[in-house]
Amino acid sequence: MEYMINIIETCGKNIVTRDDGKVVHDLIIDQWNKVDTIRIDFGNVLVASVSFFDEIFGQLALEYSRGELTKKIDVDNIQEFDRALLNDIIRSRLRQREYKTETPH
Amino acid sequence: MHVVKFPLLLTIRNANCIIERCQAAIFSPDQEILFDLSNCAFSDPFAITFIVGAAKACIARGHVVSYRPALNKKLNEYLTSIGFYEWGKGRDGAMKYAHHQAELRHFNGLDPTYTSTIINVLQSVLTMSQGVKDSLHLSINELMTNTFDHSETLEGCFVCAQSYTERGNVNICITDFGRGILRALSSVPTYAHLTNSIDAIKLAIEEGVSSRVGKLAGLGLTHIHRFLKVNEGEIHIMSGDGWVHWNYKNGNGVAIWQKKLRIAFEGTIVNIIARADGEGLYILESEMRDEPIF
Repeated sequence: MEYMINIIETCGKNIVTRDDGKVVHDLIIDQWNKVDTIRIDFGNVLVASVSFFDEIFGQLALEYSRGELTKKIDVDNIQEFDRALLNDIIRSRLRQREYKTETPH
Repeated sequence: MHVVKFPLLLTIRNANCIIERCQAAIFSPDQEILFDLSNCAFSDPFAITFIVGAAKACIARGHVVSYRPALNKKLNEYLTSIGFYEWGKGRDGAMKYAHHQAELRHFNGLDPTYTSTIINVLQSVLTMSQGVKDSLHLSINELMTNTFDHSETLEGCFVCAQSYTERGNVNICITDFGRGILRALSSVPTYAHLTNSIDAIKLAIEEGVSSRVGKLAGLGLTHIHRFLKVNEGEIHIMSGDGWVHWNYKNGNGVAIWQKKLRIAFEGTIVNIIARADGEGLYILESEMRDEPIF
């Protein structure tokens, strides 16, 4: 089963701040164990905000592996700049996750 | 009357002098403050944002602010065109700056449309690749978000952008008069050991470092640094009594320069100098070799 999040319909113009991103993040968390795939449609709108993407995907990348993320989430109609930014943010958080895992407490 | 006499060049190189004199005005026992720019011949975004911020701080303390305009015709025309002399003339209501140009703005909250406006203004006088535009868009968004997230100031931030055609670069400065990086970071137990502003500034650019307790953050300055590294630009960060300058010019790695300001100030200044013709931009070469995740 698939769950669709349309960014334009869900967020409107509120695609900049962490609070904006949290709306989408909460939807993903709510559906994570209920569906096979969560499809996020950015409607080709340019986001260009680290805060927005990091709030949506940052926590997920700290909690889930790269494989788990790509298995569960599909991203559609995202601008190339945003795609690069999104990948960069997720890599940053995955590195942070690896570092935390490797660092003895 | 307390007269603030400014030097010939209102630039970041004279930061110590400008900050020292503005701070003296803010805490002056005199009610009337005169910002005297009559001897000035040039001003960069750092000086513009800091002086208008200081004017606002003076007014908040009950001072009456006025200006002696620059005698240099070119500078005077520029400062007039961006509404510089309007700051402080009125009372509280008049501080709601409504100028349509993007070169100087004051924010009490995030305004996403402003970022596009400022990029358009820069683009009108300077040829910039799409990558530079996108990266600057991102940088400004992030710096403004940082201000509202971390500084805990009710006064918002001041943003000024200028393009220098002959130098082929753009200079964007974001100044807030909030609690500063050291106080923001040291309020979090993880960074409570921090005792000086320079260490705090250098830590703030590292991945995942943030004062946002219980929330994710700490990528803003990191990403700006990555952009400037590829762009071969520069960034100055001043906060409290610390001043750190990263210079990625000439592709020879980074030259880091740091010093203590002669006088500390409450707040943070982030001054970016980006090359307008720099390609490559945001994505690091090492990361481009990776398979994309999405």
